[in-house]
Parts: sequence; C-alpha cells; structure tokens
Amino acid sequence: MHELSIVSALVEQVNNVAQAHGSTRVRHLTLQVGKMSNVVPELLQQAFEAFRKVEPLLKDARMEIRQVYPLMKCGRCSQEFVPDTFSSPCPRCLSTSVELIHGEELLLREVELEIQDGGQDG
Amino acid sequence: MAEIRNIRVMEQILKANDYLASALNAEWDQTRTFVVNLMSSPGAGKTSLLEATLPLLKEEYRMLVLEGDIETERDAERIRTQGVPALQITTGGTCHLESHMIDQAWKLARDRGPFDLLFIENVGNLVCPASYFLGEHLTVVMLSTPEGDDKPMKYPKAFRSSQVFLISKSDLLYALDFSPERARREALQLQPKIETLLVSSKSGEGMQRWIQLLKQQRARRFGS
Repeated sequence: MHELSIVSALVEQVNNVAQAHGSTRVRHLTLQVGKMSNVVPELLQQAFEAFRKVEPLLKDARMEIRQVYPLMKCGRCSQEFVPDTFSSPCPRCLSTSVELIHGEELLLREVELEIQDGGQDG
Repeated sequence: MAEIRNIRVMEQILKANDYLASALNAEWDQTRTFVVNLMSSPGAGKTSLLEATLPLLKEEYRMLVLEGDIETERDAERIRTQGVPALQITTGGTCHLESHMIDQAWKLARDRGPFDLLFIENVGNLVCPASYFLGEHLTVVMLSTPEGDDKPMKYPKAFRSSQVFLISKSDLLYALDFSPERARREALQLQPKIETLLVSSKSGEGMQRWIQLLKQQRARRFGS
C-alpha cells in the first residue's frame, strides 16, 4: 500500500511541470503503469482523488492510467513474448532463462495544462 | 482566453527518490561506507540477524544501523545494547523507507563517523520497500522458514531487486515443510544472479558465510 506515497511524488512532479509552464490548472494527466510494477491502479486512482481535494492545482484534473503488458525475451532463442507471471518459460523453446524487457515501469507520460494569457513559454 | 497545452513528460514518478538515493550512494562511495538495505516481512528476524551480525564485525569495522519502523524506538534500542550506534526512523504510518528519510537520518549520524558499514533495516513489508532505491550497495531480501518456501514468486519485485537472499530461522527447518532448495530455485527464476544463504541467528548456522559475503562485497567495492 505505497500508492499514497507514489501519488504524493506524482503531485510534486506535476506541480513542477505546471510551474515551469506558468499554469495554475491541470486538466488531465496520463500515467503509464506496467502490470508488474507492484502497484494497484485502483488504489492510485483513490489516492489521486484524495489529493485532488486538497491541491487547488488539481481541482479539475482527471487521471488516466494506461496499463502496459509486460514483455519478456528468451535468453536462449531470443523469442519475445507476453508472460503470465515472472516465472513464465519461453513459449517457443521452453527455456526458463528469460528476461523482462518492460512491464515494471511507473511513468508520468503527459500533462494537459490550462495556461492563462501571459503564461510562460517553455 | 486560456490556452490548453499538452506536455509530454515521460519521467519516472519516483525520479526524485532515485535521484536523492544516487546522491547518497555517491557520498557513501566517497566515505567508503558500504551500505546494506535489508528487507523482509514483519517478524522474519531482521533485527535478530543484525544482533547476531554486529558482534562478528565489531572489531574490524565501524558500523551504523538505521532502523525503519512505523512506530516505536524498540529496534534501535536493541541494536544500541550491542555497542553500535543506531538511529530509529519512525515513518509514522508509511510502510517503507524512502531516500529522503535516509538522507535526514544520515545527516544526523554522519558526524559521528566515519563508518565502514551501514545497515538499513527497512520496514517489515515485502511489497512496498522494493520500489524505493535507498542508495545502497547491496540489497538483501530475507524470508524466514515459517513463512513458506513458495513466497519468492508472491513478492517478485523484492527478489528481483535483491542480490542476496537469506533464508532465516534455519533452526526451525526440522519442524517445517520448508524446502530451502525450492525457495532458492524460485528466487533464481526471478533474479538469476541472486545468492542464497541459509542462516539462523539463534544457532549461528550460516553466519560465517554471511559475514564472509559482507566482507567480500565491501572489499569488491572499496578494496580491503
């Protein structure tokens, strides 16, 4: 249950982006969350709602979570595949020497800002 | 008129944590402080392991322990009776340690150094601590035999981010259906380079190998 801490870091990150562009209103943010990132999207969303109530910047903001399927690569035959679990063997040669290429990420992809006239460029 | 602008960020959400952790790591490289982050579920025996470890290293190394807990000063008190300085980090509800907590504690403690070895005992939890790099040189995950040998796959991230896997409470093996070999194989599937040791803080089994491993890892990083 570290979703609250993650959203706390996210809010700071979004704050920095908004400040850099002279915006006081965030409309939308998009996260990219790997299915093996160890976080629960519903809990992220709940934590975000809690922050929205106390952060004026986020008052009207919506958060979209794009979940990303994991991708593994076989160390023996180089086949790439979507695993069910961390222990999935290669579907082509059945080797268990496989490596996760992505699926653990926790990224802020995009922020949609409202910028009043006179806002800074950048 | 307000303008709508879409900003492409593409940054790790925990970037600030990792950035500070990297700065700590660089400082510890300079002070030649070898840092170990110890993770396990509650009650697996992290503090007991440290109580058994510190006396075996005390003559050779100057050590510091940072104890992470949600509440109470108890673990730090246990460590201090070993004659090793210990700072308690009480997270006040947070289920893991973050690098800013380590940074704060380290700034309070570092003037009492120099330290050759720093042990960070994370909050008892096999899920959340695994997402937070604390700047350590060695990440150790511990599982006690009563918890069952099927746990590595249930907590993949903790095992994937560790280099050493300690199976603790080996003195209880006689009474349990725990297969150290099965647990070791599961951990290897998650992290092909992980080294598994069977230890008991109570009987002392495996402690010499654990101490050896710590000394070797430190020497590999800094020379002897």
